[in-house]
Amino acid sequence: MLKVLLGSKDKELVLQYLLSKNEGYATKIARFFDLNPSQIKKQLNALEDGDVLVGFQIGKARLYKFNPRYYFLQELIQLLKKAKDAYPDDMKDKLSFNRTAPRKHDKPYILKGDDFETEL
Amino acid sequence: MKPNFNQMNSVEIASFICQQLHDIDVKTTLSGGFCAEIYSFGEYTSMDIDLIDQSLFKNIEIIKKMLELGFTKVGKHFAHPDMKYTVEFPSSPLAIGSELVHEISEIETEYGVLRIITPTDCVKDRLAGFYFWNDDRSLEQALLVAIKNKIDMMNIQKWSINEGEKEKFQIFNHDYNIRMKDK
Repeated sequence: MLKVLLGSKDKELVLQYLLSKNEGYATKIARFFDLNPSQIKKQLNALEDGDVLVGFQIGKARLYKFNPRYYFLQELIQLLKKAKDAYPDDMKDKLSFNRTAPRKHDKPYILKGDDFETEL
Repeated sequence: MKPNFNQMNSVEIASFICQQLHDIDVKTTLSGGFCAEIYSFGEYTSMDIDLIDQSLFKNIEIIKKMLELGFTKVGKHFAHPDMKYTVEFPSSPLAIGSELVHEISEIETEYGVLRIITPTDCVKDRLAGFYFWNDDRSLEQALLVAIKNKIDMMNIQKWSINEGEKEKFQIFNHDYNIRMKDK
């Protein structure tokens, strides 16, 4: 939806993910949208270089968040929210669904149709 | 002019680069931790020279000039074999939180004029690190700059409230008053 403005569909997805989930790793974002992690990594790097995002090294992985010091942050968030409102319902639901409660590693899924990300 | 960074101090290095860019019509202003080094008179040390590029779309000219001065580009940074500092050009605009910086100071050295944010804005810039990241080191830098320079505390308070950080400003102000009494 914002591809023309942002220059890439992947960049829009990355930003929407971070807006909904507050933070994310490249691999987790890629898995969420069923995309190649290198595609996502490329967008995350570009956004971090432009100070839109900040990255925190945690072990071998890098955790990304919006940069609260980014001058256009509030405007960007408004734009992303407006775009999300116009998304198809299934995408809106997917982005809005947050499962963050702890779960034992061998506990089977019991929610029928729960194919969303469940790990912490 | 070939730089001899070995014989320059930190302010001279920054002023030299700023002037060299100004000479090719690229306006930059020093922000970030390096300002805290200058305004704390060396009590805090930063290795990063963050020059905010205020000339739109001059990326190529900047890279060309920096390479000409003997720098090599390493990721986002420029490094030089004769100096310990790295130079970066964060993306515009020159702002602290959601507030644009309008007032710029200048420090003149024999190598050129360094455009730099004011001590008051430097305190706000460092406080932003404390407000947004809970970084105590940033708070300490803000205090160092505030104690050693004439600052506009009302301006800092107003900005802090606009950023939604009234409580953390009170922590800063409390520590500032204690240190000023001990001064």
